[in-house]
Amino acid sequence: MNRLAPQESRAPAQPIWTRVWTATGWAARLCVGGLFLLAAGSKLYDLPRFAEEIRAYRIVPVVLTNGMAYILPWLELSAAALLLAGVWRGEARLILFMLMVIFTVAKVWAELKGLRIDCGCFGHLWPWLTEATRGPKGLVLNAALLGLLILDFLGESRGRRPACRACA
Amino acid sequence: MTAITRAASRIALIVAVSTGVAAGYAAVRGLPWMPDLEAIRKKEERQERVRQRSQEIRARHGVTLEEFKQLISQGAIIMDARPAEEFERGHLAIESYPPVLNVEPEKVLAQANRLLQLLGQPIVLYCTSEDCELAEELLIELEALQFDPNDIRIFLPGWEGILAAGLPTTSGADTWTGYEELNGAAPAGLIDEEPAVEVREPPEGTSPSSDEGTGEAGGGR
Repeated sequence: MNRLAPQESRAPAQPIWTRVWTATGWAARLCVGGLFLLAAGSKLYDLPRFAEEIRAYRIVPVVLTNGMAYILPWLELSAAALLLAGVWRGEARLILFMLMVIFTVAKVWAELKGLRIDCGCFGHLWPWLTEATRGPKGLVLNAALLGLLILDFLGESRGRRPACRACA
Repeated sequence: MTAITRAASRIALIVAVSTGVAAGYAAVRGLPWMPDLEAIRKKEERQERVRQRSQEIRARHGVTLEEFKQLISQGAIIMDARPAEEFERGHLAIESYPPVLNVEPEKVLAQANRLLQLLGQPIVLYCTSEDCELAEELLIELEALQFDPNDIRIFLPGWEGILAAGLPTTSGADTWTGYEELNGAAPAGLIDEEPAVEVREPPEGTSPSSDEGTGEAGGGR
C-alpha cells in the first residue's frame, strides 16, 4: 500500500524560468565546449607552431614555452569534454574561465605592445577562425566566451529542479 | 571534505591527467621539451632587424594591388614567404616561368643555389596579410644574399589580399630547382648568351683556314 498520497509523491513541475535557465546553460555549454574542442584540436595539429606563438607574446620564459604548448591544448580538451559531458561541470568551467582570463590578459598585453601576432587560439587548421580572433576582434570573442561561461554557471545554479521533499 | 577542497582536488586531477597525456603525446611525436635556444635567438635577431626597418621597408617597397598585377604581367619573379604547409594548401598561380616560389626567410641560405640565378630580375614578395612580417624578413635575407633591394617589392595585403581580389590560385609544393630545368637555357638578360663563333679574317697573302669553324664561308682544302 502506498503510504503517500499520489499527488505528494510527484515532483513539482518546473517553473518556466527554471527551464529557460536550464536551456540557456545547455546552449552556453555547447558553444563554449565546442569552440574549445576546435581550438584544442587545431593546436594539437601543429604544436611547434603553437609554441612559437606563445613565444611571440614575450610573457613566458622561453624555456617554458614548449612545455606550455604541449600541456595547454590537452587541458582545454579535457575541460571542454567534461563540460560538454556534464561531468565535474563546475570544475571544468572554472578551468576554462581561468584559461580565458589568461588568454585575454595576454591578448591585451599584445595589443598594448603593438605586437602583430596571430593569437594562436585556433592554430592554422581553420583560417577563418584565426581571422576572427585577430586583433581587437579576438578580445570581443574572448569577452563573449567569458559571458557564455557565466551563463552556463547561472544556467546550472538557477536551472536545478526544486527538491521533491516527498521523494525520499 | 568541503566543497572547495573537493573542487581543488578535481582540478588538480584534471591538470595532472592533462600533463601526463601531454608528456606521452610529446614523447610519441618526438617533440623536444627544451626549445632550440640558438635558433630562437637567430630568429629574434632577424625579427628585431625587421622591427627596426619595418616602416621604411613598407613605405619604400610596398605595392598596391594594381601595381602587383602589373608586375605579374611583366613577368616579375613572385616569392611566397609563408611556411611550406601554408604554401602547399594554396598560393598565387601565375602563367610565367618560373612559377611562384616558396622561400621562407630562415631557409634563404639553403636555397641560395636556385635563388642566385634570379639576381637582377624584378621580384615581388608576399606573405599572409598586412600584419605578417615574413615578407619583410625575406627582403632583408635577400639583401644579405646580394640582391639589390631596388629590384624587390612587397605586396603587403599578402595571401589574404590575393584571395580578396580573386586572383588565380593553385595548390601544391614548390618544386622549381632552377633554370637548369630548361637544359641550361635561361631568360635573356640573366645569363650572357654564348658568343657566336668568331669569323677571323686570314692574314694577307695566306689562304683561309678551314678547321676553325668558319662555316660555309671557307672553301675546303
